[in-house]
Amino acid sequence: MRITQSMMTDRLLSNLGKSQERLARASEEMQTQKKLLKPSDDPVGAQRAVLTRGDLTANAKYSDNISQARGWMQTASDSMDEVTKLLHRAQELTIQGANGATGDEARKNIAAEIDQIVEAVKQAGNTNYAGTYIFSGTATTTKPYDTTTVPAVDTYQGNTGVIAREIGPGVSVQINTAVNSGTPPILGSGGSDGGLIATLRNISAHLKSGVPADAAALGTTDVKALDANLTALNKAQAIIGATVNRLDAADDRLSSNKLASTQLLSDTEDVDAATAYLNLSTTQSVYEAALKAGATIIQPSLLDFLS
Amino acid sequence: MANGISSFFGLNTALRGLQASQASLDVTANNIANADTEGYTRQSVQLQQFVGAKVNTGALANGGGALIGGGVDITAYQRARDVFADLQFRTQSTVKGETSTLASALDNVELALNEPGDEGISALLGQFWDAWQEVANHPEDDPTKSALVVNAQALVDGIKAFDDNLQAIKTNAANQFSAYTSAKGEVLTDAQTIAKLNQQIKEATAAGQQPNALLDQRDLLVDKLSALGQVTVTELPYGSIQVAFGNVNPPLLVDDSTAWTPTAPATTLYATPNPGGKLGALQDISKTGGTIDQYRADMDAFVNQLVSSVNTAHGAPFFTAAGTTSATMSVAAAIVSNPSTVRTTNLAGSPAGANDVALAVAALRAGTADRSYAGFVLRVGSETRDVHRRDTAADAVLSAASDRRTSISGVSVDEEMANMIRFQRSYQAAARSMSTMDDMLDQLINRTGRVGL
Repeated sequence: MRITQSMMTDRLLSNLGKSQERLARASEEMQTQKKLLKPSDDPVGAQRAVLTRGDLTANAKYSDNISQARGWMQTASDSMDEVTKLLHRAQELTIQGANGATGDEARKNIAAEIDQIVEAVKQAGNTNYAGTYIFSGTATTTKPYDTTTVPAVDTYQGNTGVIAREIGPGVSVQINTAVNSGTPPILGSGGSDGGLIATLRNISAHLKSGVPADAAALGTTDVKALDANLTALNKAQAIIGATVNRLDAADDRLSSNKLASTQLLSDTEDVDAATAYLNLSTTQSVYEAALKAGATIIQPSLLDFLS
Repeated sequence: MANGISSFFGLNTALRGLQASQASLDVTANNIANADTEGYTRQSVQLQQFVGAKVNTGALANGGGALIGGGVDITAYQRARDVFADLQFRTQSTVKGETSTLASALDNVELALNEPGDEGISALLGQFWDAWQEVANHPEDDPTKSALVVNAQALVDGIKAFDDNLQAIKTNAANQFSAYTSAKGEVLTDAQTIAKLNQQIKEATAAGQQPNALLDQRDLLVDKLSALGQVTVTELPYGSIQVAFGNVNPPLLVDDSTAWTPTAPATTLYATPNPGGKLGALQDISKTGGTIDQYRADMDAFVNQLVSSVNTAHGAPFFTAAGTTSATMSVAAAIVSNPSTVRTTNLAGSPAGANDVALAVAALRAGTADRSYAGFVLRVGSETRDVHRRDTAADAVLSAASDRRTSISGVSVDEEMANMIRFQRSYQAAARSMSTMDDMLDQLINRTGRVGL
């Protein structure tokens, strides 16, 4: 092939341009530490990166949901502990009241304490976590128990709704404890539903009445009713514990998913630092070699050798 | 022995040699001067022996006669041009014009898409779903709902901004297309220049002249046209040409000394089949149902999916129900003016803490809409990559074709220098032979007949 000066110059320029393009790319990869800078660099990788980034964002949110749910469960568990303590105290008092040696006056004093316990139980039922009443079912802005009206109203003001938190894709978990459903209900709605409040009100009435049959009931049916309430309470505590375990497990799973997704994203998007550095220095030396070759071939022509 | 050849015959032969060498040197100088001129074709002087004198019959020993050379004649100033190399170059130039225009448009689409990263639509989508999750966590809380509305509007704005970018790319391509094809555009002005050149070339050729410079200019214009669209050149008598452009069917862009005058609408040349080249690419990008329209349709499908699935799960319009395209999408006015109307539950009496609806919407995350968007990113990525691959290939083939052509038509300074020495030497030799003749005649005229003086 016949070669002309302009051909050599054109080729040199075009090759220098290509070299420079590669150099720019290599240095951009070094600067950003990313090999996937635009979708066309790796279309399938870009699609995967978009989905994986979405997964990571979702994961972070699920993690956030879990920690919020855990706070809720902790508060619920604390309230239930308090109610358990109150129930134990009520058991002691009831057994004391059932004792034949206890006089009517002493029984009335015990009854007054039991009434206080009822108020304390209702206070525990009104526990509020981050602005929501946690034992109100889904009526989270309504106090479950009225603690102000005199004479006392024991009616449960909440509902039986379920509150769930999403802790993973398509996985939600119930976080609220229903205190007015089940037989007997845990706290109940007063009256004769067998809930703790109803039992305590019964005991108080029996202590106050001074009728022998009532005093006898204290040691038999009332103690049994309290036992049944304690069982219901323990059951609720067990469910809370199990839910917390489930949250922990989900959190662990999210952590390992996060690790895997981050790894996948990094494999897709990030450059291997050593490779990027090697790539940069290789393209740099190629560019320098092209420049050098250019300087060598451009200069001489026959003109230089004619006198 | 009378051969019938004049004593001064040799002088004339030497003169012709001098003239030929000088002409060759002139052409060499012109080649060197134009070594870097775009479109210049290397020229050379074509020489032929001149039959100068007749040696009379019987003058030779065998009784014969002869026709003897009387020096050299210049027959032509030849352009070193190969029409096949031109053909190849122009075909590749059309391909390259198309791929590079497509590549730059798709680069712009990718740039507007801004994926994968933390600023693209996918990040906004993630924030939107996060906001729904947060509403599910605090359904009784109005500020959370306001935050959701703000996030939803950011998502709508992001999608709209991308759609605006797509439309701008399309409009830009359409504008470029009209600029090229308008009455004052490159195609028609080039056509008029070619027609004028044709006229001049014809006249020069008819007058027996060689219009090399005009031919170079015309070839350069045809080269330029070939980057815009496919070009077919047909030779006519007297060096004139016909140029068919774009659509291979008539009308011709240039027919001899007449350039095509467009009748409104000026689309005949550029209609289907696609004219190829830069114009073809611009047409593909901007036409109804073209590249950008397809991308917009993909985005609209994604928006439709998003709007309808969110609205269905929400049970009431969260996004304006009619706004199912990127351009028309919006957060429902009622929701914007009063974020507390974001529904969180379908339960009777709408208990404050119930979050069944919010959970249902949040569960749409990573669903069909998200996947359809990721699929769109994949599509843009693979198409851009493919166009770039084609562009690189076209570039390589074009530069090979260009090399092949330059190898025939280009000026090599080394070669010209060597030629210069050659022509200088022959000039010197011709001059020497002339002075030898002169010496000989001097001898004859001044020194003969002086015996004894």
